[in-house]
Parts: sequence; structure tokens; C-alpha cells
Amino acid sequence: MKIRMLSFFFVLVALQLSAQTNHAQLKAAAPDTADVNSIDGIISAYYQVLQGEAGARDWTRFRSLFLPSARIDAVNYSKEGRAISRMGSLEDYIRNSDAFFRRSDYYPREVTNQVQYYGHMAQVFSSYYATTYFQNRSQPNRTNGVACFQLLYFEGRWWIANLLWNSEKANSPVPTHLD
Amino acid sequence: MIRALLFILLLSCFQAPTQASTSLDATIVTFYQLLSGPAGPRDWEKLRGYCAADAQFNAVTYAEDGSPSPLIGTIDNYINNAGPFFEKNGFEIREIKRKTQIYGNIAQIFSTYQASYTLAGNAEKFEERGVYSFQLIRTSSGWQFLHVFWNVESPFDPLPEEHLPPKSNSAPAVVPKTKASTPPTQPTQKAAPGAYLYKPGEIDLPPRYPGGEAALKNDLKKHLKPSGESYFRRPDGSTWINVQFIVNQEGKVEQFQVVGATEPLSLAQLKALSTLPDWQPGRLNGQPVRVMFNLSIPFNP
Repeated sequence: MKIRMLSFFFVLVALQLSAQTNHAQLKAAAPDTADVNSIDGIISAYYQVLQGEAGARDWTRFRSLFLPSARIDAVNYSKEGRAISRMGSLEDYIRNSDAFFRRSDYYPREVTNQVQYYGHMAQVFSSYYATTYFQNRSQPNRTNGVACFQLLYFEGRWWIANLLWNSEKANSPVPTHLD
Repeated sequence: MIRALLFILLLSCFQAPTQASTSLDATIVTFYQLLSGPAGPRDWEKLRGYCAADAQFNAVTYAEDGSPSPLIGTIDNYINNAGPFFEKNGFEIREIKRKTQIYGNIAQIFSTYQASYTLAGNAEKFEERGVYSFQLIRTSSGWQFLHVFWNVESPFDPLPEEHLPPKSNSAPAVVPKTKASTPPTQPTQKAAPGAYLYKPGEIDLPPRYPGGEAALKNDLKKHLKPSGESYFRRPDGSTWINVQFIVNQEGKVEQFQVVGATEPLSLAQLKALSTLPDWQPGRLNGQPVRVMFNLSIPFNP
């Protein structure tokens, strides 16, 4: 019995990849080496970009962590405590969250993470808590959550291929130990 | 990450159900079942019912020489390209190991698969293994796939034990093609220590520590006692150290150093580090190569 890769039937997909993934764009997003040469580095850079006082975020650095095709999907909760999903592309996320970061101090901190890894693919289950200080509110808002990263290792660096997170109210437990 | 992030609600998962409510386990089982069968059509509408409208289907496959080829696409790309293949060729795929992590309304799964297929007009049976990473969301009608990403097993990087079922109940193992059977001849890279030192950007497959990066960090934390000068502080106040070393062609670590340290490592620390397990070396064109490795580790003084 012989082993063969199914690569041949993906030739068409590969062609679409080169059309879809604009190589100029890949090259333009020159990353900081420390941000992308390890799994730790890229997760830590992700949290670093988002945290800080109200103001502009370094979206150039943020983009440099992601494949241009990346999706950033999330489940949050409404005022009534109902789960709501917010889905979009990397650029949707940047466009739609920029105003929030400009008016809020936001400090997400990773608590712990767990990594599964094979070949050129890794997935990270990263638990975090976040504190938000809105300009018009005296009480900070605490949220807990988990961010799930799919990572690709290609061209000598890690890329965030997709991201999915779930944030919960602070009274819901944040995993501190992941089995 | 928080509800105030007002980005466009492109798609609400809590709309009218598109399928009967199903458990996470049943969803994964169904995914594999939908791909399996003799040559002929697959029930793509049913698969779409389990996926978000623009679910991502990414993959890493390998060329004959072991160099990786990532494929980025959506469920439409996948159906358009896999569909004609399944029409012509019988394909059976089953899961042999699964790790599940759930929080709130999201789940992440690492699922090892084993597949066999025949090609039209050819009696020969081909085998393939690999790993799927699934990211799913819980909707009112059950679990839904958002991000599907799989990595075909590389002939030069067999699946490690941790991703395989216990030997006793496993099916007859697929014996990966050994590197000896098709070594791309590159004698210049087979030299001993002192051979060309690659940067991570120049190779196909990064060196891999048994148990992955988390295990490496843990092991290094146990044995390292860095001097005060080697710590650096990140904007969030946490303290870190940077380590740098070479993983050679045999998977042994050379020239380990803590960046910024004013004193070399003590003999005791070096001895302790030498007890750490060997790495799987980094690879270029399937050949093991010598690679420079940098790592940042959170470390409290």
C-alpha cells in the first residue's frame, strides 16, 4: 500500500490561493521577528496590540500577525445576558473596533494557554481576563474569556490563520487550568 | 472581545435553525461521514447546514520533497475542488483521536484522522493521515463549523504519539514513507556541526520540542536561573527573558544562551539543560538542518 498526498486535487485551490492571498500584501506587512518566530511571541503580541489607554492601536503591527484571509469571529453577550455572535474579516474587526479603543482604556491579560501542534499548524486555547475603563463610566467593566487561535507556520514565521473568542461576564469562571 | 466592540453583525448564529439540534460529538462524526463514501456525489447541502455561510477551510499539504503548501479558502472553494475528486474517487475518512476544549459557546477540537482512497481506474489503495483543527460556535440549532484547518501528515514528520490512539486499539498503523526511501540528495546539508546555520525564515519545518513549546518553557523554567540583567519588562509590566540557541541536525541543542545575561550559565545549569530531551530537527526540503532558535519566556525574577 502506497501513501500519496491528496495534493493534486488541491491544485485548483492553490491557484485560487495565489489569487486570493495578495503576495504584495504579505510582504508589506513586515512583522517584528520576535512577534512571529514563536507561538508565544505571536499570542503575546496580539494581546499587547489591544491593551492600553484610550487611543489609536498599532493596526500595522496587528495586521502583521495575521494572514490577510483571517476571520475574527466572536461570541459576546448582550445587555440582557444573551449570547450574540459577531463575525467578520480581519479588516472588519479593525474598522469596527477602532472607535471603541479610541474611547476606552482596555487591558486584556492572558491567564494561561494550551497549545496543540502538528506539522505547520497549531491551535491555541488562550484564557484571558480584560478590564475596560469607559470614559463615561466610573466603574470598570470586567470580562473573562477564551480566545482560540488557529496558527500557520509558513515562510519561516507564524501567522494567525483564524481567531474565535468567547467573552463572558466577570462572574463566569475564566479557566485558569486547562486540561 | 467585549460586547462594546461594535463591529458589524455580519451573520447572526441565533437565527432560524438550519438543522436539528445536535451535540458537538455528533457534529464531528457527521463531518467525517459526509466526506466518506464511494465515488459519487456528496451531500454538500447537509455539510453547509453544519457550517457558517463563509466558513474557512484552510489546509497544509506537502510536495514530494516535503516542502509545505498552504491552501487558504472558504467552504465554497473546498466544495468546488473536493467535489469533482469525490465524484470520481472513493474516499473513506475516520477520526482516530480527538481532543476537545469548550468555553461558553465556542469549542476548539484537535482531531486526528485516517483516510483511505482509490483513484478511478486504479485498484491501488492509498492511505493518508493528518490532523484537523476545528473551531465551532454553539447556535440555537446546534454546533456550527466556523474555521476548519487541516494538516496532512508529512512523510518527513510522522504524527507523534500524543496525537495517535493508544497502540492496543489502534487500527493497523499506516507506515509513513521513511525519509530513506526518497531522500532528496543534498549532500551539502548533511555535514556535521559547523554546517550552515539556517534562520527560521529559510526553512520549511521549524524544530520541534517533544511536548511542544509549553513543555519547553516549563523545562527551561525549571533549570534556568538568569541574572538580573537578562530580564526585560513589557508594557503590561510582565518580566521576560529571551533565550537563543541552535537546534542541530540531530536535534541536539548547541550554544544555549540567555540574551543580555552578563554571566555565562553555570556548569550546573548547563548540565541540567543537557538532560532535556532531543528535538525533532528543523527541515529544509525534507532534510534535517541546523537552525537558530529564539524564544521569549515569561519569567519572574
